[in-house]
Amino acid sequence: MGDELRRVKRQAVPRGSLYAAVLYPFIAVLTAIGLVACGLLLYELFAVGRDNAVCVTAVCVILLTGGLLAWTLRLKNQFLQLGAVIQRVSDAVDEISDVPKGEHASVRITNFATDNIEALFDRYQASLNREYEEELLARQAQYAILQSQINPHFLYNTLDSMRGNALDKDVPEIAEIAEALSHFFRYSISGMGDFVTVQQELDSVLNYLRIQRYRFGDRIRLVIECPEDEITSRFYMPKLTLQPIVENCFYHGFKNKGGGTITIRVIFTRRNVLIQISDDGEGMDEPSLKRLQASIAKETYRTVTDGRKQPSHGIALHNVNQRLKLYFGQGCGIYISSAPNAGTDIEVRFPVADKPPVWPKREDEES
Amino acid sequence: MIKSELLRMEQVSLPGYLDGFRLNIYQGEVLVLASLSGSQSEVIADILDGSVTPRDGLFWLDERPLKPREAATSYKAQLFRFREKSSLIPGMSIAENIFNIQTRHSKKNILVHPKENAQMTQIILNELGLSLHPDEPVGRLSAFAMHKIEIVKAVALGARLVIIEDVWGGFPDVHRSALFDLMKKLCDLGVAFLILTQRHEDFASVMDRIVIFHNGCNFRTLPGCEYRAGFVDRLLIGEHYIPTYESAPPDPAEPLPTREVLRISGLSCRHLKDLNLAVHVGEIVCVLDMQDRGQEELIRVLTEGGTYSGSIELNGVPFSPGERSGSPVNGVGAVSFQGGNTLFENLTWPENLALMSRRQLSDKTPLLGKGVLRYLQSEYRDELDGLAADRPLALSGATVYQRRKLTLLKWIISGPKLLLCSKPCSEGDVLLREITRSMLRKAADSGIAVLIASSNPMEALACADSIAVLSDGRIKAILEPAEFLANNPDVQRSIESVDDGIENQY
Repeated sequence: MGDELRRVKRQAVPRGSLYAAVLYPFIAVLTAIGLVACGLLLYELFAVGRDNAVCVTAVCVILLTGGLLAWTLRLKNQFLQLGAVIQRVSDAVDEISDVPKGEHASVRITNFATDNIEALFDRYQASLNREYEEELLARQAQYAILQSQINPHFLYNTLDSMRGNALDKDVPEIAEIAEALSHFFRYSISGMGDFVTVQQELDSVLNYLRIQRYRFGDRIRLVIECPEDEITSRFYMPKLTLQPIVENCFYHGFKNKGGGTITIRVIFTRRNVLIQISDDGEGMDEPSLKRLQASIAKETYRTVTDGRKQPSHGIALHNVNQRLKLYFGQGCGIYISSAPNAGTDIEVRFPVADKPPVWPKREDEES
Repeated sequence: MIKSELLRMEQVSLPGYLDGFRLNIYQGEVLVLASLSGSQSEVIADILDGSVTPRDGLFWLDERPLKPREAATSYKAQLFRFREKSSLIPGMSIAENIFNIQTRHSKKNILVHPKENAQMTQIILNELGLSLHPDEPVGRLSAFAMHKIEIVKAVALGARLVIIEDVWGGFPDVHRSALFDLMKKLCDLGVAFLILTQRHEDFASVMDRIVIFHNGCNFRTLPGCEYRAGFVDRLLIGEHYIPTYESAPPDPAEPLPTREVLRISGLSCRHLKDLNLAVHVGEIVCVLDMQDRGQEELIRVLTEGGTYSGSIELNGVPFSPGERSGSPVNGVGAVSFQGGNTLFENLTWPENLALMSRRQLSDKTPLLGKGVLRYLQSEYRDELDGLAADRPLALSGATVYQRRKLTLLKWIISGPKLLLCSKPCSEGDVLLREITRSMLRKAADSGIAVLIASSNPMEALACADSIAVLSDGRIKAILEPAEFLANNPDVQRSIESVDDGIENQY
């Protein structure tokens, strides 16, 4: 913000009621005199004659000019006051654009006021939208919290009972799926913390595949290529990073194909862990890939756009990407490449950590 | 196992070339970047060696982030770019080429004695299993040996990444295998190789990973163990796939004439001994020498003459090859594919064609007039796809595929009796090779006899009706493709791996 704007702000200090009490009658008197003078002029012209017409006209012009001048000054002050108010509001809301220099003061002030009113309205509208979205997300989150408050032990015990009954009645398939579900929910819901070892995450993916096999049978194949257990059990990663991606392979890669192979390759470098999840499913064409890449790269996932719902497969990937970026910063996240009818590669990248990273506490949490 | 990531690029964009491209290379890895002809994948090498600056991108070296401005300098210090034109000085010995250049980079080595240079070079050559003498002048070496020395020099200069563009396409399998062995040894020492190629199947035995590059971004990345040539071709070609020309089945009512066009009897020269060969009307014969010597010399003799003994007959008349043998005047066309094409860049495509077809077309229609264009377009509609008669563009606007068609077409429309082609499918991607094969087949079906010289069995099998196998300058056997495959199980396996996928998908 420049010196010019500060000067304008100083001038725009309200003068109080005395100022208004003097100015308004003054303008009113000047205007009244002007009107009376116009009447006299007409009288002089048509009733008295034309001898004093020039004098009367001159007086009228002077009075009218005085009135207009006073009115302009008043308008100017009003603009200045309006500018100052907008300035204060803008300062409070967001950064403000500089007043353009090199123009006449009145033009400058008018442009400044007009621009900032428009900007203010835009910001106000954006703020309303954001508030609406935040409220929507808060409601969704609240709903999720309410859902998760179902006693998880009840769920585990029920599944364990199911497994027991299935074994008693010699239905091993049901026993297996009940066990897999029980493990899946324990892993997903229980308080293991945000981080698990790479091995635990891979085991959870295997468990998820056992559940999906119930639906897809042997049409699904999972290949995991990773270093020896002592490395995968030593390093940590965010929980539930791989499962949503593998789930995407099922619901989008194999939806119409009915089956295929998912390959998970884990590579450890000195500083990073790279996990590539590839499927030989349907893949996607270039425009779809670009849309997906753009949607997962956004900081906030827009649930509703132009009244149409976004494709659902972006949500899980967006969520994983944002969590990785929040935990580890830029340079980490997920990267997608795909070709139509030729499968999809999703690469997950995050730094190596031989102990669970400590998530920095927010100020309000500390207090 | 924990790997070391040498280099990484993310979201690299360069308008018209790259759009969100990403690449990472590990130490000691051979990474193949497969693309189509004309895909401008070489811009990646340009970015790495600092000659082109991308608009956007994130860069890492040894897993440390780099600022975009410093990325080019940092990468350049780590890499050696292998170009078609050798960087070796022919007048200098191998040791001088390797170490004298290093002294320019490091003042410490200025005082190194030439003998010590030679000793160090000998140690390196022995270590890498190269049977070369350090004092041997580079100018005397074969192209294959020079390539080996160039790689050794790159590593001696401290390069951790060697970029190789498509420069080994014309090499026979045996030479490529030797170069791959050298690469593997260097990979064990931690050197990484980035191969930018349109002939990915040539590198199947050596690749650790393959990235399929299409439309300026990554399509898929596959580990070497999952590589299938047919699948990669299908990814690359995509919607560009075109139906290929196949000969109509022979009509028993009208058997093809079996008149001899070319008859070579007892031909002997430097690399050929007592060669006897005949090529008939409408036949494609391939002279295959896997040692990459005799077949090239045969083409040279037929187009340029030189020192030879024996007799050559063309259409039953003795033929003495001379400097202008390969011209429409003699009824012999000599198509050259090596090093791009033989078209004139400053001329339009009809002008390029008319240069060769002047004699044949002048009595039908006025040259370069609309009549010629119409004639060409109606006669060669398939070959001239996309080239409009009403707007004859300069060659700069033509694609790689259109150029290849024009290169062949300019000889075909001149109506030769015999067409000589040296390694027609040794360069370019699968689509370019298919175009070449189809056009040669169509030319043969129109009555032209075609003689192909090749060192690659796959190339011979793709194009030829019969294969004359040369060994030590002599014709060992003349076989049909099926017989050749039966006698060469290794080639059979290669063919199966390439066919896997592409045949099934289309």
